[in-house]
Amino acid sequence: MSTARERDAAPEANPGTTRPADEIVDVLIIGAGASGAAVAWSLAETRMKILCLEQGDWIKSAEFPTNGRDWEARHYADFDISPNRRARDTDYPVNDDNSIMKIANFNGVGGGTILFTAHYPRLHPSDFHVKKLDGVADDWPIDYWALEPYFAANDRMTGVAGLAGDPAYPPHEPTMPPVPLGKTG
Amino acid sequence: MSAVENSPANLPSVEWRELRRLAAFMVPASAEYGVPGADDEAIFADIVRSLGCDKDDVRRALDMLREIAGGDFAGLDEARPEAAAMTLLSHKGLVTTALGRAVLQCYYRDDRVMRSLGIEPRSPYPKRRVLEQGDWSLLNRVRDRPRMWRDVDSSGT
Repeated sequence: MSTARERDAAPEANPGTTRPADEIVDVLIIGAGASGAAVAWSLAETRMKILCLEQGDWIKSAEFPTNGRDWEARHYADFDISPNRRARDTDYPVNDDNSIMKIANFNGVGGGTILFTAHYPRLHPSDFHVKKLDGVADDWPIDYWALEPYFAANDRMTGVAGLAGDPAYPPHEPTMPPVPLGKTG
Repeated sequence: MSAVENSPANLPSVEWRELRRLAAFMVPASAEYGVPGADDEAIFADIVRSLGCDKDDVRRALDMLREIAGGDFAGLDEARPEAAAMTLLSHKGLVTTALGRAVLQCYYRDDRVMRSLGIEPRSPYPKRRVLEQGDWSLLNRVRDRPRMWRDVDSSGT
């Protein structure tokens, strides 16, 4: 993947990340967030030339706020969920004044996964048939079981942790053991 | 001049004094718990240094406070400043939210305050904190419940 910053950086600073400006690629992916990165990964074993562009930086885990005493404060500053407040040089302002839905994102390799709470709810089988079952909206042209292998692949790739046996979802085995159930639950 | 007063670039001196007095009302020192107030020298220095993108809203809060107090809040005597401070803090909105965030985020990361709450004063990582594994059998009653999700056959019925 290439970032805007890397394109401007000296090649020796980022070996292997600079590419000729006129290079022809087979697949161009815009954005290295959860979707773009997954598509890039899924195509990685092909012989195609794949270029994934990302305007934000690579975020090193050592730079996450939880490595510092000011970690809570940084959740309202350079790691805020709103680009309008975060205002990094890799962000752009989003006018959401007239929307009840407020912008929540992160511009960087990993996209919104950099900030999200690692809660991985799956869809339910009935979610694909809301018109037929509940008379609202529209049915999907595919069902839960068509997507289930991809839910599972996503769980494996991201290392989703959990406890099997949740009666709210069709049976599946979380990839990782559950995080400790501490005193606070 | 104290170490706190060495940071006038963040706030004009009048606002600096007003904010420090206001912080003392927001989180007073407690002899009972052995903790300083938010106007403590080290904590207040952290507050002023860390205003960041809340600075404009905090300054607006101080403007409101001056209006409520009918003049220089820092110069008010005896009972009047507390009444003015409480009137300001009773306002709900972005400005008072920013004020609360600016003060509390620094207060609750002070070593003395964290220790008084029984929290080791260090960051969560990179040394991390090890949690004792809890009793997962607590969830057995949930896991034993009948299936809650609705099955759908291939025709969607």
